[in-house]
Amino acid sequence: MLQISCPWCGPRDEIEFRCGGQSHVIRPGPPEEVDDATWGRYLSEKINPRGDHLERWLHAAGCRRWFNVARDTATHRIRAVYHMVEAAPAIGDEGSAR
Amino acid sequence: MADTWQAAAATVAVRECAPGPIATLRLRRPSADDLARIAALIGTALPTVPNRIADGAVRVVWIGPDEWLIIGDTAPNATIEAAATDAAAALCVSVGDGRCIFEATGPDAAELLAKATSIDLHPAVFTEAMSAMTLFAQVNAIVDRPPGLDGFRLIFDVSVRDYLCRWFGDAVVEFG
Amino acid sequence: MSQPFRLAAGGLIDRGRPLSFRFEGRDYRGYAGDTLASALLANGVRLVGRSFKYHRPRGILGFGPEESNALMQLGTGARAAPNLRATEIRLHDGLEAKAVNCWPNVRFDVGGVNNLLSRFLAAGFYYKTFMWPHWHVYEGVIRRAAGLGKAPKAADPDRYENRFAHCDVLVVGSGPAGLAAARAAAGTGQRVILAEQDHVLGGRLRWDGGEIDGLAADRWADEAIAALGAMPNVRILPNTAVTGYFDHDALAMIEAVSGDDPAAPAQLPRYRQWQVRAGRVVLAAGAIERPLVFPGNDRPGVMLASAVRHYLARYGVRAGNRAVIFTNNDEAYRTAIAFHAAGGTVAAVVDTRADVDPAVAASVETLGIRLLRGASVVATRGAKALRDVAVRRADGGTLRLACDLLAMSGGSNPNVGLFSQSGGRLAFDEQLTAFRPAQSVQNERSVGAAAGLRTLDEALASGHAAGAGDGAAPRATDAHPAAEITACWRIDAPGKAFVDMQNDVSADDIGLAARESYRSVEHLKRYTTLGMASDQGKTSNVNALAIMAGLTGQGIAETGTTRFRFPFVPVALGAFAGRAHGELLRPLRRLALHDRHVALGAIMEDYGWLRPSAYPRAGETRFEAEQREARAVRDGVGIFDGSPLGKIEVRGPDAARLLDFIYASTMSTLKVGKVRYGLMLNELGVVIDDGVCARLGEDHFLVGASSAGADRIAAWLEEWLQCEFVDHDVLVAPVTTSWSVVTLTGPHARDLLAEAGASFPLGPEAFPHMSFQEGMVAGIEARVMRVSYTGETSYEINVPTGRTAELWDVLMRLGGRYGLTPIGIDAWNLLRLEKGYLHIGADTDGTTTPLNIGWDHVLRRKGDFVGKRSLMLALHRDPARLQFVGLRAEGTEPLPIGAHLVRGKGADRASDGFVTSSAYSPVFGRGVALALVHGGTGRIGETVALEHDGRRLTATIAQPTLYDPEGARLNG
Repeated sequence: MLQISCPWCGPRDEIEFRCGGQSHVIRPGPPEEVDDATWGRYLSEKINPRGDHLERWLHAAGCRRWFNVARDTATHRIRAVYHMVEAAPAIGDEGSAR
Repeated sequence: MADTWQAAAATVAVRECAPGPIATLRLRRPSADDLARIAALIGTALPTVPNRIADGAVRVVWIGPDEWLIIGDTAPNATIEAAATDAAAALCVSVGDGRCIFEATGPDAAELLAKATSIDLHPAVFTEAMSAMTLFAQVNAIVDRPPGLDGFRLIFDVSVRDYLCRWFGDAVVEFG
Repeated sequence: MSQPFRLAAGGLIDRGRPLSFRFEGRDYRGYAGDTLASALLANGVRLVGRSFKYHRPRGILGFGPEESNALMQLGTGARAAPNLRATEIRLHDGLEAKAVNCWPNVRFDVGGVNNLLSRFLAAGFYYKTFMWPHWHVYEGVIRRAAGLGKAPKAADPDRYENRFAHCDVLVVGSGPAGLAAARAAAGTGQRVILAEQDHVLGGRLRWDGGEIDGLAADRWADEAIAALGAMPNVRILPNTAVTGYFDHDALAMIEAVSGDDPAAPAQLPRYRQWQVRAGRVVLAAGAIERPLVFPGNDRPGVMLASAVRHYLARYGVRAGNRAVIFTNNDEAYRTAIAFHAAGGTVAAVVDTRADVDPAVAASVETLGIRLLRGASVVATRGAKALRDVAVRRADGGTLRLACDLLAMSGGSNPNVGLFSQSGGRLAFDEQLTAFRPAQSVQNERSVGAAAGLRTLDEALASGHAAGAGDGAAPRATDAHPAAEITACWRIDAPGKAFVDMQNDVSADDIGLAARESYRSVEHLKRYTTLGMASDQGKTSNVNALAIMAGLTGQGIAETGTTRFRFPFVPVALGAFAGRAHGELLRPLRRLALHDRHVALGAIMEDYGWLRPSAYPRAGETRFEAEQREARAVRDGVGIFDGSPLGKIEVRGPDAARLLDFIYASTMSTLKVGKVRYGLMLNELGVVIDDGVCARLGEDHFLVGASSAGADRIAAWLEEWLQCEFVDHDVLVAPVTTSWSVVTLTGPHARDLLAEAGASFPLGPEAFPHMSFQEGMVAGIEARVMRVSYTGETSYEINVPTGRTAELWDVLMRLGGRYGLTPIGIDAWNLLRLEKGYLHIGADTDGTTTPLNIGWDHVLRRKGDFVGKRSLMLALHRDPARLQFVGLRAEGTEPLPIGAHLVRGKGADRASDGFVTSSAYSPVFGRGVALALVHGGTGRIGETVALEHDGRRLTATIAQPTLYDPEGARLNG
């Protein structure tokens, strides 16, 4: 059970959240100008790293806001939490244990 | 029906309260003047710090960075919307018919709630006038500590009222 | 009845409170404070169980959760509890226990024949013998023969609770290190939880002697516990085992509240599961002694040396009269001394080491106890209890020593289970001959024996430091020196030497696994079943992997341990469920009109909401009710509770822009006061929901979602707004449960609504199909939509939920003259099916696009919408794709839902589509259905063959809209 710090509500248990997968994915468009391969990559090709991963989470049982989480997929260490409109932070060796 | 359901044990009591008028207010990019006009209109300032409630002529609960719950009798929704003249969008809708409210009071009120929610209810952490939206016994809830109440107030969707009455009724049994 | 092995004094038992209990049909006495194990030992009961595979007689081995032999079945009927450790069962008056895995009883066990066949039952026997294709034949026999206790068949009548908790410091274990940690942390005002699996706090301080700060160890414990108990920031939880260590310092604990005490008040839960989020964790869970691996080490009367000491001090029970101590370390000498002091005879201390520290040797020899250096026990004898042991001396000669107790010690394993679960890395400590915590990942610290520390003083100091308190650590003013040990993993002698007693895995089985290449410890575990079942290898794992290391020539560190898993001790399943069972299993939602539906005789069923499926009258079947209700709608007027329909307010200058993107059709062209049906897709182009959207104002829409999609679609809109269209000025508010929906449908719907009184005109010109009115109905604020799911003139009347009953009562009262009939979901489904209206999730699945359901020409051409690019893929435009059609069955019997149309013969036989919805239509007097059929749109009129469960059926493909295809009734 991860503990995730919602940027609005503060630290809460994982059960209150929903993970939306990889963040910072650019939606290709307009549709008439996108080829099948590009669209296919958008739909299906998500990175699956061992280590730091930038992903979207929704505080579904709380404020119902989406935000970004930088999480180490191997240790579940959460290095950063930031708003949807923010750019990905530089991840150094230091970070919160949670 | 409302205001009649209750369950009590030696150290904790739960009772249902009539929800009365409740409105959801959302404002997109309001100005300070907008907020001041609305505060004057409803007699209560909108809390801008998360996890807080504000008490004035009505009670206002922070439920999101652009969203509040206004509990109590106040100006018509359209009047409140109209007061947000600078905001890019404003929406105020009545939701009181869709909510039910319970109060849990007594020395073991926090113990009772801790059966159902993983938020930290310690009085030094969850202080008076704080509020939290969370999962409570599998359903979404707003939990708050109204000033002056020896316990907690919980707001739920009305469709799970019956389930919660059963849940509370069974949960208080342990407290004698 | 006497308790021949009970000492005259001593132990934490209440001799003023004798208790009666029954074991295997015989009556015994014990005292309050006893465990079942200590009471059995006090009564001289040696044989307490039969082993899992060979049904060998077994006795009590340990004194806590590590117990592998004394597994008990308690209680009867619904309260039967299998596989409880006798060492953890608190004795109560009238307790009845039975050994597991033996029939007819533990003294005469038919399964014991397996022991004679044991040479055929070696490791991997099941895998090699009972193979496909006849597994189903063997399975029943094996399950009966090789089981432990029996689970009850009836529902569990006991209460279980769940409790979330937070603390700054969680201390696991209340021995010297745990108490020192808790005291230090609590003194600084931090919130502390101290969890102890035993009902008595103090751990080793209660039975292993020593002196702290000038006080006897148990006195010091009493004072420390009293001080902690008086602090408001400390929660002390006895009877509470910490079972799991999860991510981000989340831990699970199981508290035995009433446990299995029938005298406990009924309102108390049997177990309470705690889910703790800790700031940091102090692991002070102690250590568990290892058995020595030698032939006959499983005979009743062979016990861990620490257990012998424990029963003496804690319960005043001497586990035998004449003992042999068998050890490879100094610590077991304390057992010899204690046993001697308690009036027992120590026949010898058999030490595998040739060199024993002179002071340690003198500690027993001065008592007149014989010490055999460099010697090993190589055999034991005794049918159902130990009679004597054979000892091989250093000079190679053997001698027999008569004894009724063999206390063995192979060293101690720090309890690293929770540490390992937390992700921490272990290291093998040669001096300790055990794995100990090496590198932490989470915010925890192991202390005391759990950290591999060997003295009381080190335990106190490490605990105090981990507690991060002020002041000086408590000091051991008199304690045993660090016990030295020389590794001894296996005594080389012929005969069955057990490593894992619970699973009957012998040293030879490990050798077999090694020869057959199951050398990785994880393979070894599965192949031999070592370390499985209720004790999870607490006494066996390290011995086993050390023996494997010896066989493979790898080091013990390289061989490694198997993964330590949750839960550390067995947990009753009810504790996981808590109170979430029966009507509290999950929150079923209720309608405002629930009581009215019930009063009308409705069958209420689970659709997420409890909803009326049909309203059968007296003597009417459910099917007859459905047919009657449907006819009433076609001929008169029906009333339907549609309250769960999703209702989402969407407002702002960019509202129309957002909805054009969310819907696969155009919403921006909708006129104010009008309503339009739309589909919502995901990015794959798959239909995820449908509903009507009403435009209430230029920048104000009311989005309708299906009942099942209400919450999902509200979240869907938010997701797009927050993650993609952050520049859109739109606000969304779900109002689904604030408004309830009462739908009037049928040729007389308008007449009834007029009679109830509406504040707006109702004529077909002023209020046509697919339009919206806001005003008053029967004096109640209402939003009314003219939309239809039945094909008849319909009004969806939305009123504030608190006033739904008022509206319902008015309509029911006035509706009599029109034959107003309440309509359940069954009839509702039939009516929409006749009309060919889609039911998302029934007629569609996770692959259905708008191009499968005839929306080719409705899709918006200009601009983007969710899923649009996917629909441009060629595969979605294949003329042979599944297409939505109607089916007319040949006869009156409805086609089974899920029946497949079949084309081709022999190897070419393939599905040609399938039935998605089906019913008997009273209008057509035959079975009608909706289906997805390959190329279906071009096959109208074709007769097709269907198959279902071996049955063959025939039907004719038709347009989806079977009823009133021109829509005359709808628009009237």
